[in-house]
Amino acid sequence: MESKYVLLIFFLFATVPISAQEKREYERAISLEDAPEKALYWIESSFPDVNKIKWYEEFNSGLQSFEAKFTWQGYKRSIEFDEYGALEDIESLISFREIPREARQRLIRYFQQHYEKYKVRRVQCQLSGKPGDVLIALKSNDSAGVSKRYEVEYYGKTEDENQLWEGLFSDSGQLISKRKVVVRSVDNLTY
Amino acid sequence: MKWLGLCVVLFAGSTIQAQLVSGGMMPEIAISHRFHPAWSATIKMQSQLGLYDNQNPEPDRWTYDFRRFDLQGFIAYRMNPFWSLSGGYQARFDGENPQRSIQQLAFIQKFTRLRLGHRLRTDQTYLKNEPVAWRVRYRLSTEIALQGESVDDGEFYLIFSEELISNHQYERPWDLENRVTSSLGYYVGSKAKMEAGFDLRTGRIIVSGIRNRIWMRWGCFLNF
Repeated sequence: MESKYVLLIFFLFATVPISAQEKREYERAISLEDAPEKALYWIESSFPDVNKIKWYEEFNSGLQSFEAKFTWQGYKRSIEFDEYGALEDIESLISFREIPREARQRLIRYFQQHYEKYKVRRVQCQLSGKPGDVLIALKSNDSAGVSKRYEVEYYGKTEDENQLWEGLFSDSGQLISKRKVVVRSVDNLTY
Repeated sequence: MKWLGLCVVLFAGSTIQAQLVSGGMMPEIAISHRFHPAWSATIKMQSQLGLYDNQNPEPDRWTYDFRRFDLQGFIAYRMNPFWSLSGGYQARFDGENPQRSIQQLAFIQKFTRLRLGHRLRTDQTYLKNEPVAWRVRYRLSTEIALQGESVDDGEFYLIFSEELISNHQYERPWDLENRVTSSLGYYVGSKAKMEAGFDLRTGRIIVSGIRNRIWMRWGCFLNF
């Protein structure tokens, strides 16, 4: 009987870290009416000149959030709110070269040290903090007073693995966390 | 302008009438299993059930006729998340029962809302008392998410493909075939997706007597 519980506890602990390392998101487009009012108001007052905004509902590891996506000042922006409409972060799609030189070089060093081969596919600059501060940081391009991170999707090859990863790096280019990106099966596109 | 449009429609209609047209149902199922991080196996079954053939005399044009059943098996090596190499074999059951060996290189491109699939394939068909028929084919497929930026569980998507096939056989004229498909798909989850739509195959493009085959296809893709 005891061994059963030991096994159960072992599997629970063994599976939690594995699933936590995988990026499994569920996202669906929603209409304006389904977005939280607080989030709608914040977007309208912060970006009055933007008129084409797409809203999405997202579930990530069981947590519900909302995202507003639009293009502003030439960059694709993704603004994430929690289920009650409080701002979580603002992500801007940038090119790898737009990461400041020192942080970029640290990232390159990380990739070179950990992978035989790598390719950066997508970079998002992520700003989080108090909503007012984040907005000021975004509009003034000065991230003092807010947290700035880089979410980097990259392909990395090691001796054992050939994977797509999403790494979260600090403002200075230090790895904070990473998780595997689960690529949907492609059998309908290849067979 | 209106007259020009009418002429195009009439001309196209009369051209199709002069061609060989047949069609019917084409159910298919593909079952894949990844048995190693880099290796997977796929079994695909496809049938063609004829319902219409304009070569038949008038009262028999709409008639059920079993055309063929294909059984394919593939082993694929994933070079990275986007590139894969496969080798396969097909047994066809249509009376003549030709066998076919298949080699394939596939590449996937991921964009916001859509994925593009490139497939370059070569195959060799073996028939009794006939030289081997070689084909080189390239297919471009597009999968478009309909309910968000990517296809998630319980969501619909559209899938289109265009494939050009070059046929080569000793002492036979070189020929081309074109295949266009458009389907609506439903992503049940990581283990299953279903698709239903149309598949238009236009053969004998170079040699005389263009042949059109229109299939209503429905497919099921399972992953274990």
